[in-house]
Amino acid sequence: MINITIQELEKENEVVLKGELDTAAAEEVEQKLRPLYESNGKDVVIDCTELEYIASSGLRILINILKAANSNNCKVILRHVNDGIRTVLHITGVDGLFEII
Amino acid sequence: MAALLIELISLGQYLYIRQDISKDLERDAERYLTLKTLITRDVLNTSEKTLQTHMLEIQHNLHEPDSMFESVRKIVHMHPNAIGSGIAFVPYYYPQKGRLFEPYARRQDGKITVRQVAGENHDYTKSDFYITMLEKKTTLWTNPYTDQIAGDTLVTTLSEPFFDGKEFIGVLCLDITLELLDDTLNTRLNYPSSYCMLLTEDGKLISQPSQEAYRKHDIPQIINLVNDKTVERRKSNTECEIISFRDNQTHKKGTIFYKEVEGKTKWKLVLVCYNEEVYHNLYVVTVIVSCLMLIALIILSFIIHRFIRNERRLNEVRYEQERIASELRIATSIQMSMLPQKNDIPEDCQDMMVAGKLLPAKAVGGDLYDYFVRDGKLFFCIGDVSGKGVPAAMVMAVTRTLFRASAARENQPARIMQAINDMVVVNNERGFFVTLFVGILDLPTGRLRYCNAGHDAPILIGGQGGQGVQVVQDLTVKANLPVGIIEHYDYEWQECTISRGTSLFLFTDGLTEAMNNQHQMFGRERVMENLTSIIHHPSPITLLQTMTEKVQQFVDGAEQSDDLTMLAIRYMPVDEKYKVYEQLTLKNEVKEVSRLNQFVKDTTARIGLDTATSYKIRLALEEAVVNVINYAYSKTKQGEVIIEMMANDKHLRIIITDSGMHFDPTMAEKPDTTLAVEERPIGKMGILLMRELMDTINYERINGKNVLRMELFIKQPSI
Repeated sequence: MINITIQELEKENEVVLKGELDTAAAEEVEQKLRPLYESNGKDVVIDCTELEYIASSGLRILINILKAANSNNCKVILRHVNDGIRTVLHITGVDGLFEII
Repeated sequence: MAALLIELISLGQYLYIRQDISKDLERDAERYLTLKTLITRDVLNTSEKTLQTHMLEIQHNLHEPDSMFESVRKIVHMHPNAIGSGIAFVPYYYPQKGRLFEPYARRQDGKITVRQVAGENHDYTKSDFYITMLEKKTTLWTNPYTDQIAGDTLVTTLSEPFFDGKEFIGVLCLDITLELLDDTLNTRLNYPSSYCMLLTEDGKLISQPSQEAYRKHDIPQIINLVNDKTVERRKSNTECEIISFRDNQTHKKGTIFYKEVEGKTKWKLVLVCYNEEVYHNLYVVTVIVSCLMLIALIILSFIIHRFIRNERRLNEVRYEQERIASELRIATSIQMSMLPQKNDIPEDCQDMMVAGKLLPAKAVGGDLYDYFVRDGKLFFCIGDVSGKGVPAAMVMAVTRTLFRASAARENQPARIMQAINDMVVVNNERGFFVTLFVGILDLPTGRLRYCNAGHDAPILIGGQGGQGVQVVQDLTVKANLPVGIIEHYDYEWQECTISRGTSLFLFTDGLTEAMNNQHQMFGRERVMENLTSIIHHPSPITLLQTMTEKVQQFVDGAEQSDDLTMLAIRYMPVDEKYKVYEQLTLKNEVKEVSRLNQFVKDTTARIGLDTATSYKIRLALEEAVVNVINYAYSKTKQGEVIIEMMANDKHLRIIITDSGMHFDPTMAEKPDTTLAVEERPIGKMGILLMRELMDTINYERINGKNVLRMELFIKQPSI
């Protein structure tokens, strides 16, 4: 199960992902995050503190957000990424694309 | 430089020898002159003594005029050189004998005749000797003269006055030959042009050199030189005087030696030599020696030149050989490094053992073998390049590289073979070809796919024969053309399934054609026999060792012309007992993934795996199943995905089976993670994750189903 919160702050859009982003959840997540596919000119911060799992389908959503942000010269920041997810990002080679803090 | 040195040496030698010869000549000339003067002196002394001896007798017998005949006869008889002797009395000394009386003894043809020679025809009182004697009344020697009666010999006359009391009464004369002088004149020295002369005290020529000498040389010049006291001369130890001169006529250099005959005569004996002749031989010898040395030098320098050039060439050749040898060593090590390495087989591979051996006949060989494991499959090949040496080795290297490259992305042996063939054919101007066997053994199933391009059929050892007995038998191979002959040749591949416990033995003809000193070949029968004998000990390494020993025993040290290569693979019997076995069947829908996740969580908990490992398994399995759902099945068609999960202490195995379209995730290319995000394909990340998270993924299409196996070796088995 996954829980998603999107918040537009003064300088950035904040997304908080909680739970497991597997393929079954991917469709729902994509629906909810679709607004971010259109960039409003702010950086996107994705808080992963409580994100426990991510599959390649979840990565695909993150990459789509990144593409949109990049086209507006904005960054996508992944915050508080746990080791398991960090490994996945590393294996797939997408860790270099995001700013991970 | 060397020539100059040699010529200088020659010159030095010449001068030295010349000086030597000049000393020799001087010594010879002195000896000769001394001897001659001594002899002459002796003759003259003897003559004087003879006359003095007989003077007493004559004086004693003066009263008997006729006894005078006997006296002169005796004188001639006594003196070996005397040719005549006479006594010229003052006129009317013997009145009975008339005005003139001269008893005279003459030696002619060995006989001595005596007679009175004076008469009106021969009036001695008018002769020079008589007149001189009247004036001087002392011993006198005439200058030598030629006496016709005595032949052309030189004759001199000794005159001695004799007295009766104090009254001068006559002259006693003795004619003696100076034959000795003549005899050796011109012959003493071995120089034909040298000659001797006798000069009087006042420098008049009395003994003439030969007519030839007269013609050739300026004789008066010699006489002048001797007589002219101002001419520079030197005196030797033996009172011999030496003058160097140049002939006015011929302008040749010469040397005059002369010596005075001591005593009353003061004649001078002169010897003339010409340098040219004296040194002629030396000159000739020197010239010849110089020439010979020069020639020798030229020959020597030619030889040295040749030698140096050859040496240089030899060195170049040696260097070249050394270079080639060193390059060959490098080539050998490169070639050996192209043989499979340890890490080509996963350390924990339980399913098979493999061993290969390449014994090149030369530094580098044209044989090759290779093997490696990818995605649970053993890819292997063995081949023999036609020809030998470096060119063959290069083709070998190319072939091996092509095998590696194409087998990295192909699971079908004929396609691998075709890929190799198409590359080898291109630019194959030298007409090389390669007999090659390519095999792929699927480790989970024992399915062996292979393609044989003209290579010797491999041999299967063990496994179950028709009647359930262990056998040694050929692997059936189709006759494809060797690699490198025809472009786009359509290779046929074959397959069979081998049971666990079966070994496969591959080799090149270096084994069957290994020849002993009796020109017998090892042959395929012996190979089969030896394999049969070790059928129960078929560890690949032992098998190769045994075969190597057998073939070496057989050839018994005979030199081998061909490389010998062997490859042995044993498909291991594996004890597959699992502590945990779970199964799950899913529909081909994405939402089923939730069920899968639960299944993984439960099962990994049962196995006792830690969270991190469980996480890896869940992700890999999810990616695999999602791929099947997305790609093997069309969206509209209902299907099932069966997941089996089993584990023992050592490893975990997951088998995913579906009835969808042929879909081999192991064939998918890896995404390029260096690309920018915009250029990156979204897909394929799942397969990448599967590969990276699991130790092995293996795919086979079995009975119309996709079978994907994933394995994870458990490093820390749970308790």
